[in-house]
Amino acid sequence: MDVLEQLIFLLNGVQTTLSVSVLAFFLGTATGIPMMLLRAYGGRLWELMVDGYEKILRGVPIVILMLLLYFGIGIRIPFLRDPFVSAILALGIRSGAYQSQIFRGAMRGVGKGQMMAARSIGMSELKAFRHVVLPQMFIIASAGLGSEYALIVKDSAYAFFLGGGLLDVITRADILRAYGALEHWEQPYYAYIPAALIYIALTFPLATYLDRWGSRKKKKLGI
Amino acid sequence: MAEVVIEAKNVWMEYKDVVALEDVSLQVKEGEIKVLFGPSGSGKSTLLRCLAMLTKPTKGKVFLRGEELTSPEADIDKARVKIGFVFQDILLFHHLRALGNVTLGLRHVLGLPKEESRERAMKALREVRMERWADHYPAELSGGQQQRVGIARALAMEPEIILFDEPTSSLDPELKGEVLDTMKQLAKKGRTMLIATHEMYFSREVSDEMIFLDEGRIIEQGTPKHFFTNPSTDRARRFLDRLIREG
Amino acid sequence: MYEFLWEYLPYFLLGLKNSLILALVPLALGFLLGLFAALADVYGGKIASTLINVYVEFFRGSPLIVQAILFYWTIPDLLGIRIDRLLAALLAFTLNSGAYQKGYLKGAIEAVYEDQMMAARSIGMSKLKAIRHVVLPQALRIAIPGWTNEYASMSMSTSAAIAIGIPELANLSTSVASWTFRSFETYTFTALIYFIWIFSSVKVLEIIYEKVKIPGFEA
Repeated sequence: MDVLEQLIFLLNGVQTTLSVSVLAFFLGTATGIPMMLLRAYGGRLWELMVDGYEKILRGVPIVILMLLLYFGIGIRIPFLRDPFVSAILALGIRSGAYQSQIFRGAMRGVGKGQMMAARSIGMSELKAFRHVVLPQMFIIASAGLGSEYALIVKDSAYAFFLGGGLLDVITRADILRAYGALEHWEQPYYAYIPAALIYIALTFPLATYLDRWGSRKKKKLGI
Repeated sequence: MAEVVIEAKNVWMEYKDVVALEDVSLQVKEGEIKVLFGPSGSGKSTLLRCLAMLTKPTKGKVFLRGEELTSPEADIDKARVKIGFVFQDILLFHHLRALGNVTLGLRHVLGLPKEESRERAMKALREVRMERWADHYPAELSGGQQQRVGIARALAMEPEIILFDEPTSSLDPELKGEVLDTMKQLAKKGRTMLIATHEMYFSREVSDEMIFLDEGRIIEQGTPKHFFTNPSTDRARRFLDRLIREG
Repeated sequence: MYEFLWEYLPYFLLGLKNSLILALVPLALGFLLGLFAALADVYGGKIASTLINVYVEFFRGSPLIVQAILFYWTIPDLLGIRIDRLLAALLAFTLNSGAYQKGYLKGAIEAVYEDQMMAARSIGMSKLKAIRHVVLPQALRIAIPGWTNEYASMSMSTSAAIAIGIPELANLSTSVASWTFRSFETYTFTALIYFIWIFSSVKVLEIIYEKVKIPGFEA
């Protein structure tokens, strides 16, 4: 393999890295918003449970979560014996805890007045949340969500330790290393440099764009 | 004999250690314009919010055209369509333009189609003379302009009565006039209105009856003439003196 | 069922000890680095600012695992030397932590800077003195919540050291799991250790913050 072929090999990992990341992110949103709502409206018991859930998931390394799902529970449940699934699940439920916090802060930023105004024209709480509170929440949360997504993309690399052959960017860098060792390269580990740059390309532009978009939108709408 | 549009019967509003409203009863009939006034914390806002059931009274009943809103079977969302509310903090929807603020209820509460919503909304904006600002975001408007859009938002739902919770209190002095003028226009057209306000000259000009609230209770009721020439209670007299002197 | 964990406790404790070193040293050095970077970014002029931002974006944009590998293998290979695993990890982690801490510190400094600088200069203080006596004391206090975040984050990220074979907690837990074939219990126990470690430290930091925070200037 010449340098170009190696680079393409590495870049082909982007598809896997992104699939894992995007799916995990959406899993996080799908669990984060309901958890935030449960915590806010569900009463003391739910508040404590969601709080506990958030605290636990923010105090355990993601790799342990992945190992627990893949090896620990995967023994009983074959569905989890796929690094793709375990990685998404682990990243997703952790992200749910983080996004729950992000959305909680964002909802506070929107303010109770907006909900009251929506109800004053006859909207039900559900409609008011959907049409008035939620859109504003996303604008306020955009920067936080951007960095949360970046975090997922980077932490997807930990799936490497599951050893199941998930062909994402970092695994491919390692494959190139093994190949390089076989071919007696001087520096078999050099593939990690372009790998690092690829990850940066996947995280930095989007996170920065969302951050800037969010700031501009907030300024424009006076939120 | 004009029909009663909205009525509060022996309404109490109690929080942990505070009684915000104490046994308050009042009625507003069709076409009437009543003003609630009194010191800060007297319960004016609380009373208005209870009437719109934005806050649920701890005791007592609220009626809209004879239908009891405080009963457990009441469809409060539906009732709120008929009760227009204008907030002290304005509370326009930040993420929508002026037109969007007014059409939101038409489209998603009343289920009206796009074109009809737009027409009705523009009509409401014209009534408050904000039609040229229809595509501006609230952040691009002055406080007075925002509040007028707030009034249009309430008007578009075609309410039976409009409740105004100190609509000009949070506005800079030079912006109050446009809002008060708009309200005077509405009064002239025969709208039913219940207004909480500190604007005494406005009240004298526009209201049929004035209600003085203090510490959660109705102390005195009467015509503007009554209050401005010879109030019965000492408290009302002292309050009015202070307010008028401070202009 | 869980007694076997007692048998392997020494491994968990050794792992925890290494993880603590891998967390605390980079956090402390990263603080100094981050402070320097924040000040250089704010006051240093355009070139310094650009360089600092490149540094920050590199370390914040790539996975820590990759950074660890770069410092243990790639860079030494390119330079033709060999370095110790622990040193490589500490270098990578310190630079990483510094990049994140720069962000929190810069935010805190900027929150305080303009108004307070103006006030300080109005009583005749030089810029340097103002930074030392007025801006920094406030900025550092405001930065505590962000720093607490970084503490938790770094502590969990020490597990990236698996990539270069350092016997820290996460790495040793995989060994124990493979020796005992009791993955579920092992990893649950490991998670518990991390959780207790991080949760109690964060609680302590939150108490400290409560004591030293500036009223009216909360995060």
